[in-house]
Amino acid sequence: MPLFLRIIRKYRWLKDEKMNWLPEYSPSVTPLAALQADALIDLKTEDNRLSVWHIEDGELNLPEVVAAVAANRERIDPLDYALFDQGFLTQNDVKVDCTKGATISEKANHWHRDLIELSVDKVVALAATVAQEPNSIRRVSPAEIRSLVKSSLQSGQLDAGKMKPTLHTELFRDASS
Amino acid sequence: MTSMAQSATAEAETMSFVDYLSGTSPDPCEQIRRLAAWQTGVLMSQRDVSSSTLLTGLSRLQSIPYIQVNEFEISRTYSEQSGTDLAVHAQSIEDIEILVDGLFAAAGEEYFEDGAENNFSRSLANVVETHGKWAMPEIAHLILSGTSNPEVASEALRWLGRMRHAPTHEYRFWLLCKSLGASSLRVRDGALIGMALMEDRRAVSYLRKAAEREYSSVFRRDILQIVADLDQG
Repeated sequence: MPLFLRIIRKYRWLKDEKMNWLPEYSPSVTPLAALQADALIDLKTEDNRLSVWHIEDGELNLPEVVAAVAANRERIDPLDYALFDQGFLTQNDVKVDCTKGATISEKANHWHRDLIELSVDKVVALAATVAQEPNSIRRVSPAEIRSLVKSSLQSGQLDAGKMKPTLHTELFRDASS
Repeated sequence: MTSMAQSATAEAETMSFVDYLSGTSPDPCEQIRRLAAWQTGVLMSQRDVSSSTLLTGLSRLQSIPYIQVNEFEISRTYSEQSGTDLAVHAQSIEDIEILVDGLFAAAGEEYFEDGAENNFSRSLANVVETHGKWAMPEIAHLILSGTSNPEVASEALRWLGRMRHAPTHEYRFWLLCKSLGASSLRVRDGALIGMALMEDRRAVSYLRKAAEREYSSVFRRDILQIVADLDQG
């Protein structure tokens, strides 16, 4: 089943031991009750739209999407993301608009989507969907990003000429002095 | 080990002090020099340190044989000058502390985005590159004391790891190591990312220890991923 990818900051979806006011997820505690409120920052809408990426069956295009998103940045950073499946859209009557992405990869841009006409309950439902599937939250480390982007440059999937100079410098500089 | 070193060991957290010295030259003069730098860093990070206390600390450093505290731009010939020059330098440190405090306070209003520069990151880099090790103690204090907003501290640690500034490398490395033990997960995350971006393979041993004591199993996996990345690098 196809998936959708949303860029997040992972620590907002984890419980910190300082958060002793937050209950542990259990049969008697809902995923939302066990989720810190800061997680909603990662689901901030604009004009009631949420930017996501369509990931094909078998996650075949996942590396390309990750490389494209990372290559569109100013600097190398880890890339945290959450995955949810298409079933969420139908179960919650969420509409999708095929809005072209704005990365430096023309190919990856076609996988961009906007979830549209969102209401609060739909955004909260998305938070619950992500929260109750911990394996859906992943991180691509800076070293992995570097490798993916370089590989995409070499294969021609990304155009170095369109990359921001600061990112290009970080990609190809030597290790720390 | 000299009595001063024993005192500093008791004063600083033992493991971090020993770890800081580990891997350095066995030359006792080099160890004493690094110890002096460490102790002055601890001294300068104390919020209530007065100019006179700072001067006393600096004077003590200069009384140690074979010490040339070059990292702090004070040489033995400098000590031959009047105390006035040291007082002027101490005043500059207070100004830098105020600058750093203001920077961190203002950053609380910013929205941070992965992979993107922001006003705070640019200002932080400028402060570190301009004021070098005179700025690091206050930065370290704000992060390690928990005084600063965790989001800001986390962002600072990322950018401190990302910087390429040789004069402050050791201090930034030390701060990242210390911050791996922060009580806040987001601060630990910032330290982890800073470690990954710094690409200093000495971090591996610190990261392994951090993974052993990590509360979050998910975050522990992230730590071990960076260990694997550094091992392969």
